[in-house]
Amino acid sequence: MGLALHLDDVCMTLGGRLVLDRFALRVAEGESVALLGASGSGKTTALRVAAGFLRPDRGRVWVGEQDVTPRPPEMRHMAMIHQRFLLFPHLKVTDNIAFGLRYQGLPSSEHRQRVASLLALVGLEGLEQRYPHQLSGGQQQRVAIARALAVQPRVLLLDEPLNNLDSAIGEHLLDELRLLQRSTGMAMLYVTHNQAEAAHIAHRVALLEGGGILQQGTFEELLERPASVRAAVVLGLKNLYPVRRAGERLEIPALGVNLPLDGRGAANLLAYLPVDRVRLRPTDQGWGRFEGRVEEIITGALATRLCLHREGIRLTAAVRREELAGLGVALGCVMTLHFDTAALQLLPGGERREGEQGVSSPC
Amino acid sequence: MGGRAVRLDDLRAGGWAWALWCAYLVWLGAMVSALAAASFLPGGVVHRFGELFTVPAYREALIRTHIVGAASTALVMMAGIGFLFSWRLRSAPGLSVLLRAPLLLHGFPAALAYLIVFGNAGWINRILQLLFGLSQPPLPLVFTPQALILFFCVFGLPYFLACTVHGIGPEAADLEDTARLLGCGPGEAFRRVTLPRLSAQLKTALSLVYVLAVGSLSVPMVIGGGKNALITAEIYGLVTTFADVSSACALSLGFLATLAVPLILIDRWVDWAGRWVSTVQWTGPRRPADRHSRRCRDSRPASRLLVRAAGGYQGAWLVLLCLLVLSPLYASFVLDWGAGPLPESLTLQWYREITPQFWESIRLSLLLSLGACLITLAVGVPLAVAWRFGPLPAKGVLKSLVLLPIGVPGFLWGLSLLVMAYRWWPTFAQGPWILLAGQTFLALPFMLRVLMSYLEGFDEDYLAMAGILGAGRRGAARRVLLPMMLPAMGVGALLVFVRTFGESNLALMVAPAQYPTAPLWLYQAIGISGIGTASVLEVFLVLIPLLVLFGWERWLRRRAPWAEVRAALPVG
Repeated sequence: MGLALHLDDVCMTLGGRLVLDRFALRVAEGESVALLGASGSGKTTALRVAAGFLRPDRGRVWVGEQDVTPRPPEMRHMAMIHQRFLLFPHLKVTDNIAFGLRYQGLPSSEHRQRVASLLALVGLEGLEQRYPHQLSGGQQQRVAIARALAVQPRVLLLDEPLNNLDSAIGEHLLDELRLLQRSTGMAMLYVTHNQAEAAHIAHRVALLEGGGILQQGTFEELLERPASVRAAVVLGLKNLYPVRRAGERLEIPALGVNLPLDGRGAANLLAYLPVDRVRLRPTDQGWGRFEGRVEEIITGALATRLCLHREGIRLTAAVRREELAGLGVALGCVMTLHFDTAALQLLPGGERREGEQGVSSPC
Repeated sequence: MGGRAVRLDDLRAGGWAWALWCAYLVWLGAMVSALAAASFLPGGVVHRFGELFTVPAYREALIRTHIVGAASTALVMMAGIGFLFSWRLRSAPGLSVLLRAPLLLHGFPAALAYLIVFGNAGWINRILQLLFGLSQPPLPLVFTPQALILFFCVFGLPYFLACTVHGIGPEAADLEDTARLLGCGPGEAFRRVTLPRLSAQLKTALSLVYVLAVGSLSVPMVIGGGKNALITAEIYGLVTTFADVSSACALSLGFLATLAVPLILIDRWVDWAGRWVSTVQWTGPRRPADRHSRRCRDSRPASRLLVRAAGGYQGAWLVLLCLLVLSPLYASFVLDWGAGPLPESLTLQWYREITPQFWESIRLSLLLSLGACLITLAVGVPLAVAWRFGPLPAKGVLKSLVLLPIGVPGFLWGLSLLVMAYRWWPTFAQGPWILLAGQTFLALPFMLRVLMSYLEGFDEDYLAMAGILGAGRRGAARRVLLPMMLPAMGVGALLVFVRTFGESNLALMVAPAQYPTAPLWLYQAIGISGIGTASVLEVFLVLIPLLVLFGWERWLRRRAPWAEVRAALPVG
């Protein structure tokens, strides 16, 4: 599969601050990639560099086989959906959708046809003559989607497009966006700080911090095998414990577990235990146990998060609700959880980014 | 989008922003330099500057001018802050628009309205005479410095409100509510939270009122009286009676120099007073129990009484200002005033006596206003766009600098224009074009300020979005920027029209005798034909801008129905 978008070793300084540091990302044709990170991690800047609103200090931007770095935004065959929708307030719905068609060199009959089909696609028939301020937030976002799709972009850029919508509408639109992307087969770069959105829409998630990519892969890979302590912290993963060397073994004192050294040093290492590998009952002989006082019970739609506390150490488990039923688990009571020692992973604590060899030099 | 956007780099590459602003600044500089250059004509500039302080007539006029300015500004400030407080307690929708109606009246028309209401034979004196059986008017409200102070207080309030009322919107209400939950009473919340936030608007408003008061030429000529001439009238006399332009220019520069002092004082004083009122403890430290009792008290009848008082205060001002706006209409029907407050006979005879010269003056004023609208649009839009998107240094300074023509009395600009015209192009000074040039110069700040305020809040991301959808620089400007600026252009043009139509300070200086504008014709009518005929002209002077105002507003609503843009406009 060919490349739709390639940001190659991009460096970008804004206001004297290095916002993108040797940033590299590839998006294949038909692929949906999410840039996931906290505020200030550089994800929106990366998107703006891709769009051509910002010119990078170093590095190149490729669309397909073409280097578009010096090109203005209107010559990059992209479209964008912004978190504030940015519908032109002086234009009606149809005029907003048809805005970019004028520059496609199409006859006006085709304009009308394409606008009508897009209106049907996003379910806005009957609202053609309305102004943006006469639409609800969800409808405005649909117009923004239709406007972006109208120009048949090679890459669709989305800058936290669901931020200003309530969760129900947001979830519905996310489904629609996903279906649209899969059906049209266009490449998509989706910027978000919301893990659920990234998991829902993207084939691949790139985890950003400090202007660089910490790790990328499917969302499941990120959760199950975080590449570093930083990646785990950015993802908000629980159950990270210090590791120390004890002779020829590595010891995790918090859990009372010893692991073989296997040629690894203990420096800068943390042990990570996925929450779904902690259970109420052991399923195998080799499972460890942790006794503590129930500190937190958070009931979710699918699972309940249970947190035990003992002498400053916490262990979090995600258990099915029906498992808890009838056990009489309450805040403050003492109980025992079992964990799969084979699921323990040792994460390097350094901040080395993906693809870097040794210490990176600043741009 | 923020940062170094490629699209803006393109704009920067042209350098047209620099060229435009340089041309504008050269024009501004030339106007100021003309006064300075004319001062150096034979006679010695130092000697003439000295005359301002040594010749008793000039010195007294200068002192009187600043006393009138300071007193009017202080009164407007007290009345205005009281009004803002009452507005926070009780805001009636539409009232702010009504209160701005007197902005349609300025110069001679405003003075005539004042005469009808406050004059020796005006309504107030007549009512008092009737009530107390007096033979003489009890209140000397004309031809005294106090009359000027009262006039500028009454007509300065709408300017004060126009500058400040948008600063007490919903955000101010939320902050005050927060302060009240923390234990403040309504007055204290306003004093400690809202007033300090208004300091920038207060500075603008008070400076504007001060400049309007001390720089007025037409108003003192009608209601000031010969013995109470302000410095503006002395300078005008030097030009028209003695044809001593260089002395007039020197006095003008001296006057400008003295004008800088109170403006700086206002700036500093507002800062200092803002800090003081937000920190001073007027009632002594309060105990927690007091906080509770105070909050309870505020929600009970005492608070309702306060709200009623606020309504009464607003109502009183509204009645007074409406009276002033409508008084010429009433006066235009009166044939015989008689002795009582109500006229003894009404007539339409003034309307029958309308002469062709009258229509000619209205036509000239209309043409001047329309011309000024078009020129200020043609000049203002590129200047404002260049200011917003161009790589200009010190944009804040430029934004303040565009206000210079408003900050300097209009008649001084007229004098400067006359000096330049007679020096370089005497025939220009004898035709109507000098009026157009002067009025445009005076009106441009209104257009620029409105456009700049709008563009300051303009979301550049719209242009970026147009760009990524395929529109080039020109396409984005033509299809996105200009249509979105349309309401701001409309408001700017409206302000320009209204200001130019009734402008008389500059017109008094530069208008050739054969080209009297409507306000000048009104001034002549007051002296020659009396209040009846003058009132007819004033009715037209109020009606025409009023009709334009409503028509324009309706057109704008139809053309630009999108709420987002309208909400961003500086004039609601």
